[in-house]
Amino acid sequence: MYLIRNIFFMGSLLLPVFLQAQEEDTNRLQVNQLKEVMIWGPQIQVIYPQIINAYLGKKQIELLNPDDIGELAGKLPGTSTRSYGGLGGLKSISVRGLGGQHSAIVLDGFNLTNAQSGQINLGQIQSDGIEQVLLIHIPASSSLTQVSAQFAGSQLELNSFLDEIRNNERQVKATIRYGSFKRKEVYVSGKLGKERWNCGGFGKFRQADGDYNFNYLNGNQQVNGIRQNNDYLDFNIGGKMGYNFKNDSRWQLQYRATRVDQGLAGAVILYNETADERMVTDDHRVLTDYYFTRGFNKARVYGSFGINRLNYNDPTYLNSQGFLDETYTNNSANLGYIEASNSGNWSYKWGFEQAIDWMPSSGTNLGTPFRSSSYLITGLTKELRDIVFESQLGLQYVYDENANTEVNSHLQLTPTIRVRRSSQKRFQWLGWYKRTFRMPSFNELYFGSVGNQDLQPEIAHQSNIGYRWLPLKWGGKMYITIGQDAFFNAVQNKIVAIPTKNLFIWSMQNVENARVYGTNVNASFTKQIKKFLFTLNANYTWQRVLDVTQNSITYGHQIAYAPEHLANADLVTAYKDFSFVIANNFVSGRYALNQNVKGNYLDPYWTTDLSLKYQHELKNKHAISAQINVKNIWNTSYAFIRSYIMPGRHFLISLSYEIH
Amino acid sequence: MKYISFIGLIVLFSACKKPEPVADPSSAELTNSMLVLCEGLFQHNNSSITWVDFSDESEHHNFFESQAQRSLGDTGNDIKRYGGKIYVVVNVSSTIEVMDAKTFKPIAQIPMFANGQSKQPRSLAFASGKAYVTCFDGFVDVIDTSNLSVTQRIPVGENPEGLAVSNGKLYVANSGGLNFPNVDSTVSVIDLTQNMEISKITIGKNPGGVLVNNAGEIFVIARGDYGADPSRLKKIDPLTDQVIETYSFNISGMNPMDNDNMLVFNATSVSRFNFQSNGIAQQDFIDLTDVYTLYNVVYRPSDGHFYVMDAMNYTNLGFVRKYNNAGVLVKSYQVGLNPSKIIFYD
Repeated sequence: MYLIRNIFFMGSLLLPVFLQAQEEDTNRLQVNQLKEVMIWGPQIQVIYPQIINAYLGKKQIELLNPDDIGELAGKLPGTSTRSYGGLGGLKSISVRGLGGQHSAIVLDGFNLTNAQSGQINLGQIQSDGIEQVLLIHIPASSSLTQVSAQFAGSQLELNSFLDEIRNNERQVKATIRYGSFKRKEVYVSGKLGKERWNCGGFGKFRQADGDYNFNYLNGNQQVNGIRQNNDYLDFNIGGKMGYNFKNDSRWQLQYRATRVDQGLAGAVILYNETADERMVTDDHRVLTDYYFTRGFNKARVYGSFGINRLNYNDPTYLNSQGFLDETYTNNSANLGYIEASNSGNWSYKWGFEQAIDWMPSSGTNLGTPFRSSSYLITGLTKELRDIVFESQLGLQYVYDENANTEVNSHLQLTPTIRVRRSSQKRFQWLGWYKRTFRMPSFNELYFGSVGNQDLQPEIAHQSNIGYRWLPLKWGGKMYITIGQDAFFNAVQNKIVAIPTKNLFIWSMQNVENARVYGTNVNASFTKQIKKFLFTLNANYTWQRVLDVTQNSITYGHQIAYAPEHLANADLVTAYKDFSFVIANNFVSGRYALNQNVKGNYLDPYWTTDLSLKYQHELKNKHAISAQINVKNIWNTSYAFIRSYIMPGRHFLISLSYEIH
Repeated sequence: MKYISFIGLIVLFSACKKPEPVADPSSAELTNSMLVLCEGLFQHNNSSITWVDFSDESEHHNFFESQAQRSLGDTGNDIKRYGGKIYVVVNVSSTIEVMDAKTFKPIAQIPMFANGQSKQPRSLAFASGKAYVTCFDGFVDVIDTSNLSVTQRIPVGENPEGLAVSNGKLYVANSGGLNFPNVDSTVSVIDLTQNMEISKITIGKNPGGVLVNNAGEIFVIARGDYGADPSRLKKIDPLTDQVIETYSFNISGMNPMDNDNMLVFNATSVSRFNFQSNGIAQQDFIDLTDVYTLYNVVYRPSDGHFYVMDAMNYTNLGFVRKYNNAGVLVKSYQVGLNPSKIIFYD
């Protein structure tokens, strides 16, 4: 019995093993299909790699118990998380040296956008209810993900427990947590699937005082401090209803809302511990889509509407009012259609989307920007023997105006080509090229004197070659996968802020070019020894992210906040009802500014997290679990971003009751 | 577990770069040299002081750190010598560091906070044993230089910047920079016998630097809006406290030169302004070909050279470039990030 249970457990853990070893892309349906098979251990050996670059599964996410998606994303190969603090701190990702705005954040097939900053704050997306995290460089030919997301340099795809509710499925989960910094959490979720109708929902409350001790080296002196004004309070609620039609089509409607009320601890400033700024974020999103099948075609019609309201308050700002209080309301709406067909050795897809963003604000800094974005995408795939040829072409037209005056318009092409050996083979190879771009954000275009209305899109040429090798499979109670990629990116018209008049007058400019090259290696190893099951997932990335701007003072220097080395190694051990994780994350030295000199150098860091979980199955598919997470067990003092020191060792205890 | 740790260690040590040791300059009295205050960048805690020893042309970076065994802090804005002490104003850290003028050894750190909030000190001036410090919260703080304590706060205009003493009065430029574009336009006049504001002079948008010549005339730069309203130099009569002249050339900064002249400069040129002729006497007389970002320029009377502070696009290590009397580059010294002020030792 324990073997079956372990295999069941391993199924979830091994999914990333299979998938991490694979190349690029998939879509949600493929992954879900995999999950179905993986649950039944004996069939594990029939699963051959799909073509995903990186993946984290439900069990892994639950064991890691991250504060937010930003924390998880840093575990994916080639990805670094730029974190400005612990719980509630701003987090964004950089994939293979590209800025965060080159990555789309996709939740249940919907692209989460923020035209104001150009990227969603991953520190405000929590991991409860998230069952899969995938990093995708090239969308699959059969992908029905929102069209606009498929234009991005990469996609961080999140699939929640609401994404798919099966017939006669019933699930209820309740979790309470208590941890360091007086952190308290309550999370409740449930879903129910009937023959036709299904529904689900969740609610979460989280609160923390947030202040944490830290230490740092000031010259030759060890200094202890407290990161203050770091309190955090958030509410998350959401619900979904869906209907399955007789002809294998389905419709769903989701609503998600988040409110975050937090103090902003800001940077640690030597000798000055004052901090009293606050930020309140309200986010509401309505998402709906309709999947249907027509012959060999699968299609999806989708639409969404979102409001993200951000209020910033500095009660002691030194202006004539004596405070600063500004509110920015970022609205977005889109409507799209995408269709994929697979008949024999040929497959194609096409789709379109119309999106608009508009943003009134209380301050005078931004005006009232408006953006209309039109997308058209088409793709063709041909399989010859065991070689797959894929091509895709995207066309995007963007029209910007502010205060009813046209500011700019852009027309951009996104061609993609990939050749790979079939994913049914034990040894695979692949190569691809894609041209992507990212539009300047509203802040970059219009924010006071910093904004520059003449900004052009930032262009990225990405290319990759790699292999996947599965020398051993589960038949011998051992499984190994190895994969490696070499990548080369060229970034043009890089958008950066530079001082244009004096130290205090900075402005966004298209002035930099960058060259990125490197390699990442993934390896997974699983072995069963008596009643113990061991899984090791590890990845390592080496990358050079160089400024190659003509006549630049820093030509040939590693660009700011681009670590040369990134590594993760997670060891998972399962024994009966217990599971134990040691998770390691290493980020090498990097520079706070483009000039690679000692004064800008930030030390490398290596953090280790531990997790111990006990889960006991009761009758009638009821289960209870208890879990303790110890994060940063070595109490390492570290900061990815200069002056934003992260928490030392801290704890989180979780108790859950689940009906599944 | 052991193997994981081993692999981790290999990765860690192969990727680490050992930091270079901090410079270990002489602790003897400073002579024939200069201290260069480098502002650093906001929230980087990397303001620094470079000591350049002219005897062997050596550069000693992080000189404050080597003397005090700790960092200077975030955004050093001003440095001045008064009596046997040197005062360094650190804006974002909200401190004033007091150092021994001969050895540059630390004497005291004065925290600049009021009601739990940072005052954000900006600039310094001295008179009659008192240090006067503009604070961005709308005050000029008075510091007794004998016991290094703040004895009084004098309310002025919004976000005061530069200040200078003339004829028993202190002239304070109220920038109002944090209300941009609705900036302040006044200079506060403080009677130093009463230590209180006695009047405000309207001179133009965004007042910044203040300089007083030997005749007691007050020169103030109204920086405008960095756009259509250009930066202009104004002259105030010390007797009437009225603006008596507005000069038509572009200006971003000024510094004393000798009894008859001061240096005025903008982003592309350095000129000599003559007080007697009341105008530019020598225009664009320094060859700035090698200067990337002109941030400040000062004159050293003892060697007759001009020292141009080059901020190198504000995000790269700066240089101090030394020019002879003919405006020809003689020597460049690499210093810290955003060099802005110099104190010379003869």
